[in-house]
Amino acid sequence: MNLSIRKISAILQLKLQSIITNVSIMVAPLLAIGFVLIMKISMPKAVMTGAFLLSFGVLFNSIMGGIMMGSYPLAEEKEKNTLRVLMTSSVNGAEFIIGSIIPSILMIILVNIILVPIAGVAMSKINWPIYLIYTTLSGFISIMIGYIVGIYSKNQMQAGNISMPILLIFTMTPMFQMINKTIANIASFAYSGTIINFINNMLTKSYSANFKDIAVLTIWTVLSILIFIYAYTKHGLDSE
Amino acid sequence: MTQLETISVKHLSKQFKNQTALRDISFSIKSGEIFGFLGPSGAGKTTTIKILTGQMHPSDGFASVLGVPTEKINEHIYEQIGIVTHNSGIYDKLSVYKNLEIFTKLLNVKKSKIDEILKQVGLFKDRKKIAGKLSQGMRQRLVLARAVLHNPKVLFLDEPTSGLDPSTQIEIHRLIKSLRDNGTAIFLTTHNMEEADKLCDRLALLNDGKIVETGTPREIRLNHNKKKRYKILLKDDSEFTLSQSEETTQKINWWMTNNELVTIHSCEPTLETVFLEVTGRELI
Ligand SMILES: Nc1ncnc2c1ncn2[C@@H]1O[C@H](COP(=O)(O)OP(=O)(O)OP(=O)(O)O)[C@@H](O)[C@H]1O
Ligand SMILES: [Mg+2]
Repeated sequence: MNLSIRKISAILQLKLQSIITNVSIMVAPLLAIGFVLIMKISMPKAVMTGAFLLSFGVLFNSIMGGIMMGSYPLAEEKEKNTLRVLMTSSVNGAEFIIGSIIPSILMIILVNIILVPIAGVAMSKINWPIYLIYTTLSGFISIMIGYIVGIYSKNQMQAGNISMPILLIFTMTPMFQMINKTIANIASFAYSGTIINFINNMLTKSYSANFKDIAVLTIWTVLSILIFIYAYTKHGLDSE
Repeated sequence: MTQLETISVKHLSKQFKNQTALRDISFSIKSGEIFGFLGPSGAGKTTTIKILTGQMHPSDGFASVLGVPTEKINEHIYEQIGIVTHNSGIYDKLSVYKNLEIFTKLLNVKKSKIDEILKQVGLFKDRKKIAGKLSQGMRQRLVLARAVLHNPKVLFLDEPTSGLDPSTQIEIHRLIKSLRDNGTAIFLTTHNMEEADKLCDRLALLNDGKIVETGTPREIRLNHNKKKRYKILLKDDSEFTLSQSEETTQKINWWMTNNELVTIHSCEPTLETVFLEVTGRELI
C-alpha cells in the first residue's frame, strides 16, 4: 500500500476543519475541562484532591474522547457517503486513518496538558515524560477502539450505541477499583486503570515506571491495532 | 483524435443472494464518447457502475477500465476517473468551495480550477454557501463539479439529471458534451429517454439485467421503424394514424388530389415506444 504525504495532509486538513465544526468530537474534551472546573469550584478540597480531579479529567478526555473521536467521525463519513467518495478519489484506508488520527491525538495531548493547571496540580509535580507517554498511549488505544466501533457501525447513532457500554466500562474503572481488592486487581489490567494508578501514585506518593504498567499499556496498544487491522481487512472501512 | 477503448465489458453477470441483477452483458466504450445505459428502475444500471468502479465484484465475466481489470482498480485508476452516483456524499458543514478544495489537494489539481468549474456548473455565486444548505439541484451540480475537477479520462454518471429542472438539465448536458469533446469517455445511466436521445452517442437498452438493444439512438429508433406510420389531419378536423400499406397510399393520394389534407407526419417511434416494444414494459 502506497502512502502519499500530499493525500494524508489533505485528509488531515479536512479532519482539522471537521473537529472544529463537529460537536460530537468536541464534547468529551470540553466536558472533561468543564467538569473538572465545576467540581474543583463546588466541592470541598478534601474530597476533590488534585489527583482525583486530574485522573477524572484524563479519563474523560483520553478514554471517552478517544473512543468518540475514533468512532463518530468514521461513522459520520459512512452515514453521509463521503468516505466512499474519498476512497474512490484515490485515498486508501491507511492514508485516511493516518490523516484522521493525527488531529485527534494532538487534541487529546493538548487537553491533557491544559487539565493539569485546571485540576489545580502544580506543573512541577508532574512527571511529564511518563504523563505524556501514558496519557497519549491511552488516547491512541481509545481511538483504535473507536475505529473498530466505527467499522462495525453504519451511522452515528449506531456508533453511539455500540461505544456507550465500552466507554462506560473504561471510564468507570476507578469506581470499580473502589469496590474491593479483587475488582481493583482486575481493573488494574485495563489501560484506564493503569492511568489512574499512575496519576494517583505520582501525586500522592511517588511513581516509577514499572514492568506491569508498561506491559499492560503495550499489550493494549498492540491488541487494539491487531483487532483494528483484523476488522479492517475483513470489512474494510466502508463495506456494502 | 484517435479513439481508445477505455471501458471493456465481456459477459458480465452479477448475482445477489436471491436475485440476478446482470445477465451476461457485453459492451465497450471509447474515449470521446457518451455511452448511455437506458433502463427502468431495478434494471441493473447502478450495479453496473459499481462493478465498473471497483466498488463491487462481478459474479462472472470480465470488465476493465483504462486497461485495468475492475477487481484490480487502484489509486492510480481512481485519479483518472470521476464518479457521480445518487449517494455521492458532500461535506455538509463545509462551504461549496471548501468541498472542492479538499479534492484539488487529493487529486493534485490547481486551485484555480475550482472557480472555473464552479462557473461551468453555475455555482460560482454560491461558492461560500454551506454545502448542507444547498438545494437538491445545486447539490447534484456540486457532486458533478467534484467528479470532473481533475479532467478524468472516464466519467461515470448515475442518473445525473434526475430530479433537476429543465434549465439545469440543459446546463449539465452542455458540460457533459464539452467533456466528451475533450476526449472523456462518459458512461451514463438514465431512465429518461429524451435525455438518452439528445445526449448519448450510443445507447444500450437494459431490461431486467439484460441488454436488449444497442446502437446510436437513431439506429435504434429506425430499426424499429420497419413499418412506417403516418399521422394525418384533414380539413374536417378528423385526425388519425395509418400504417404503411397499399390502401394507405391510395387514401393519401386521394386526399391530396381533393385538397382535403391539412398536415401529414411520418411517425418515427420514440425510444420509449421502442422500449415498450422490445420489453413489453414502460421505462419508468
Ligand atoms: N447490494 C444488493 N444486494 C441485493 N440486491 C441488490 C443489491 N444492489 C442491487 N440489488 C438488486 O439488483 C437489481 C438491480 O439494481 P440496480 O440498483 O442496479 O438498479 P438500477 O437500474 O440502478 O435502478 P434505479 O433506476 O432504481 O436506480 C435490483 O433488483 C436490486 O434490488
Ligand atoms: Mg440506480
